Formats: sequence, structure tokens, C-alpha cells
Amino acid sequence: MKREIHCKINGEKRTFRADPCSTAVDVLRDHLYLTGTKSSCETGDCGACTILWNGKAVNACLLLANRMEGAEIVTIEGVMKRGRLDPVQKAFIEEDAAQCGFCTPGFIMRVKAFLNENPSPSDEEIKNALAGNLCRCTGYIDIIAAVKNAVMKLKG
Amino acid sequence: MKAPLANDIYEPATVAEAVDLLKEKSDSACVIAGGTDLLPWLKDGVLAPECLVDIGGLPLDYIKGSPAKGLQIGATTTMKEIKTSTSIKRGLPVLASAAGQVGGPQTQELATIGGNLCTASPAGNLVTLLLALEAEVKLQGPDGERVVPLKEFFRGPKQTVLEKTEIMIEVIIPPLPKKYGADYIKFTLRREMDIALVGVAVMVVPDGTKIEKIRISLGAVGPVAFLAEKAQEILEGKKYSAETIEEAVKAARDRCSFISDVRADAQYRCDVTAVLLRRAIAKAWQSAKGGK
Repeated sequence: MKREIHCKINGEKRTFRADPCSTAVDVLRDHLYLTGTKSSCETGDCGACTILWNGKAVNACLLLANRMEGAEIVTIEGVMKRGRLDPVQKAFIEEDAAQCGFCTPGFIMRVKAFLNENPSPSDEEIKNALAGNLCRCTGYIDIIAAVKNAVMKLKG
Repeated sequence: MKAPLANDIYEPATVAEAVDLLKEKSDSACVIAGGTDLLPWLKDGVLAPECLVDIGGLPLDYIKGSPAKGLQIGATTTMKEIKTSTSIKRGLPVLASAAGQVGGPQTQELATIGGNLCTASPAGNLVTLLLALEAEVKLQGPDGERVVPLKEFFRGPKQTVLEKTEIMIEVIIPPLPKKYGADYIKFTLRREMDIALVGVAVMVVPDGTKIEKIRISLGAVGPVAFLAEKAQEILEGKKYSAETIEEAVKAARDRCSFISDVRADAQYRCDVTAVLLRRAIAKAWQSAKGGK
């Protein structure tokens, strides 16, 4: 049974009707047409659906829509600000950290949350932080380089 | 748009409200906390409740007390909160470590300590470790509260004594003696994002060169996680020595039921269990004697 959900998405107040027992990834993609967030494994293993939910990087496939009520949600569409790329996005471009790009939104959301908490990570901490995001194309080397590049950008 | 995962979802504001809802709906409702185990089951049709009772809004997200005086951890406290808690990192780092090995970072933001115990996978990280820490769980139902020692909580794989009208509200870890040492080893095939192939947790209290008290918990090597009581008896009161440890390792292994499946064969699991037992006992002892 649908209900009215009120939340903030990418800085904007949104009100919409959705089934609270649908998953957030389905609501974001199919109802709100925010298709930057990707639906892949649907079991919380691959991280392609990672969004920021009240500042936390979570799998949107494991979040029911009822938990969107009153929440502040950021998706990949909300990362660019006023037409300017985020330092994390710039870093991914500079390091060639995307091939097909399917996993990239999930990685970027995870990296943003991670660097918010840990702006000076060690190499080991970076690898551990990315444990919940899978990439089938790149072999991760360039993604790790992008994270280090973003660390420098955010410091300087 | 995919079909919703249930017909209705309720968000009780108090534990009493949640229990009333479960009393009313018991056969047709499932409790959801973090949802990291539940949602995949709903998607697969393993469970198909009519409605969900979301306990995420209940005031069960807390860490009270201290490792020295005894900890009370609310059932909906997340793995992330446990992993990053200053008091747990300082006084019970093995718990922070175990919580930090559940799934991946995104999982840990949602997954709860109560959920890990109520899912009751024999391989569960906190299932295995909390047995060695002699934890108890507080349950609340229509007839009131009850406290169950964790070793009496599990009935079988993914089965517990939790009634359909009850929810878990708190996990209680008794005070740890100053000189305790503990270790938890989760052996996985992948480096991350994997279920334990074998899990071993040890808590030891030395008395000079003797083992005053030891708890050895084994996960993923039987239908439920369990304490290796015979092994514990062999070691308690004895001097810490390789021979006695080997005797205990043998006794612990004899209690296991190793299976062969697509992940590994039984002999491999058996061999790994012995290695982990030796390592965990050694590390726990070392940590009791020296730094944590």
C-alpha cells in the first residue's frame, strides 16, 4: 500500500507516493527516474547501488522505501555542484578509473563517505574501504589511484 | 517497478508497541532491523510475510557500561557503531574487529548486533565471538522480559528460542577480568565480503603460567556455533603448554561436524580448524600477557 514519503534528495525537498516496502533503489530509479544509481546484485554484495543516506554509504537495494522518510539522500546525480565536478569525480577522470562505468556511481558515493570520515587514509585503509564495491573491468588499480588523487585534491 | 517485498510495514515507536503488533500479527509478520539478512530472503521468497515490523526506530541503539564493568548493547546497534566505539576499541577490541568483518562497509552501516544473533547463522561473526564472551540476550514479549544465556539461545541452523511474539532488545556482555585476552579468527575464502568457512573465538584468563579460565567457541563447523566444553575442561587449571593445547584442539575438533560443499571439503575445514584453534589460543594468551 503506497504512502506519501517526504525527504531531501540531492539537496531538494521531495514528496512522492511510493510503496514503503519497495526498495530505495527501485524507487529512486523507476519512480523518481534517478537512474545514476545502478541496480545489480540486489543482495548488498556489489555496491553498485551505493547512495548516501543521512551521510552513510549504504546499499540502496537493502534499504526499504519507508526508511527514506525524513532522510537526507544523496545520489550520484547530486555530487556535481552548480555545474562543477566534485574532486572525487575529477580524480576518477584523471586516473582513468572507469571503463564501462557501471560500478562508478557506487564507488564515487562510497569514496565520498569514506573520505569524509577518513581524509588521510593509508593504502590498506583505502582497500578495506572499497571492500563493498565490485568492479569487473578495471582490476581496481586505477580506482585506488583515483582515491589517492582525491585525497590530495581534498587536502590542497 | 519490481513488486514490493511485503504488503505493509509498521514502525512502532516503543518496544511495547512492537510487541503488541507481533502479538496481533505473529504468524504473518517479520521483524526488520538492519535488513541486510532479511531483504535478500524476502527477495528470494525464503520468507514471505504479509507485513514487516520495522524496529529501526526503537531506542535500542546504544552501548552502555564498559568492558570492565559489563556491557549492555542495544539490539539495533549497528556493526559500524560497535566497530568505531571508543570504549569497545579500547577495552574489548576483539568485538570491534569481529563487527568490522561483517560483510563490507555498506553492510556494516545497517547490520545490527541483534540481527546477527537472531539470524543465527552458525557462521555468524558475533554469534561465534559472543558465545566465547559468555554473553546473554534480553528478549521482550507479551509476557514480559526474559534473559537467555547465548549458549541456550540457538536451537539449530538459523533457529533460536526467540518466540514470534518477542523481540531481542539487548545483548549483555558480563564484566571481563582485567587480565583477560581474546581473539577471533574468521577464515574466509575471499579477503572481504565473505561468510566464515571456519570461525574460532577464544577468551582466556591466565593465572601466572596457568590457565584459570578459557572459553573456546567454534563457528561454521556444525549446525550451530558452540562452546568446545571438553576442550575448555582439558585446559582449565593447567599450565599453558603445547601438549595440553594439542589435547584440547583434538577434543574441540571431535565436536565438529565438517561438511563438504562447493566452498571446501570436510578434510580441509578440519585441517583449518586445528590451525585456527592453535593460533587463536596463542593470540588470546599473548594478548592477556602483554598488550591487547
